[in-house]
Amino acid sequence: MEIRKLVALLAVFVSLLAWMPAFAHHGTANYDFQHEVTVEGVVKDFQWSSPHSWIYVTVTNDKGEKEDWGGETGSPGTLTRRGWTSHLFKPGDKVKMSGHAAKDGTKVMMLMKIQTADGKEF
Amino acid sequence: MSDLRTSGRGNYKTELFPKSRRLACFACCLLGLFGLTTAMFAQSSTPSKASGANAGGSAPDLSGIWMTTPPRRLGGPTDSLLDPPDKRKPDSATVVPFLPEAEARYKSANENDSPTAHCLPPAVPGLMLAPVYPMAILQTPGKVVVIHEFMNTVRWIYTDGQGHPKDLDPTWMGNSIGKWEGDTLVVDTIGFNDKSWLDGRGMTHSEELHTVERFHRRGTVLEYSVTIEDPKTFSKPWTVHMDYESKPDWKIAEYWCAENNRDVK
Repeated sequence: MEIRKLVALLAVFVSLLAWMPAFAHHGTANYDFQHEVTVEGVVKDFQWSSPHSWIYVTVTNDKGEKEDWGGETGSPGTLTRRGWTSHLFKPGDKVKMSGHAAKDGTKVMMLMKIQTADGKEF
Repeated sequence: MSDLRTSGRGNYKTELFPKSRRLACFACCLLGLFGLTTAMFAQSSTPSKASGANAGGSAPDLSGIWMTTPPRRLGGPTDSLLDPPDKRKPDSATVVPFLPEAEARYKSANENDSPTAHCLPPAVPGLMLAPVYPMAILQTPGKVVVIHEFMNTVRWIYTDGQGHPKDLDPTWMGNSIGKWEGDTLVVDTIGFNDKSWLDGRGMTHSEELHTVERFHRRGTVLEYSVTIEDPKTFSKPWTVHMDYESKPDWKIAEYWCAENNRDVK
């Protein structure tokens, strides 16, 4: 592989590392790191808080039923350094979020990526 | 010792400080606090100059905002000192020199029991190895103060040569004293309680935990190492290295753990 490609790949890798949410406050054993889930819906609540911020999204499932998914992400400090603000999401915003779901089946995930209606990814 | 503290405080106020003197004293304290704060921030804004933190006044200035480098894998499985990335790997072996009982405790630990999940602080070196939160170092004559964003935690490192107190009540952060060896700040800490974890997966320790940390500034990089010793947990001392990068434009954010903690059952 050309060195240039290697450097580009490395850059992508490093940027991904820097992007990922921050979890030093508690263990991560409750989440399934082997699989990633993606849900689409509208924001119900955005909690900008320590030790972790949470975003709740109302999703219509395959059966046509509405269910709420919670996405756990970083503290205000870590999110601010990634360009987030406390008013980044508001109720009613359409979003698509991906992450590692809880092993126990509850509808929460460790948020890895969230996309807004205009295509922006955070 | 504890009796002296409790009874002494009451007598102190009523006998030595009548109201007029208390007011004057309060004003003096305010002025003093203002002066100290101003001095701290004045120094933190000039990271490249010597601050006079040691007796000779020639110590390098460690003041500033620092963040771990290189970027760590965040959002992954919980940090463990057993499989650390890059420079966090222990020097002498990839395996921490656990005593058998300590290793058994470690393997059976439940991450959800971590003190930090209950908003209690990590100690040394857990705080220094916290991967995703910056720290601020404020260097003043006789003291180096480390303010960690993680858990809003403050460490006081005394560099005035006072030594460790003879009778230490165990605390989360222990008692830290520092001295300069050339350009390196060497920090010796004892007096820990046995409640904290050394990493995120359940590395417990005893009250005999003893750490020796070395801080060395190389331009915009802070080189750090910690040697961990605890005869009730490890068969021999072992060392972890880590680098931090200067982040002069960053600020330390608030982190009020109890605000929205879901882990307390």
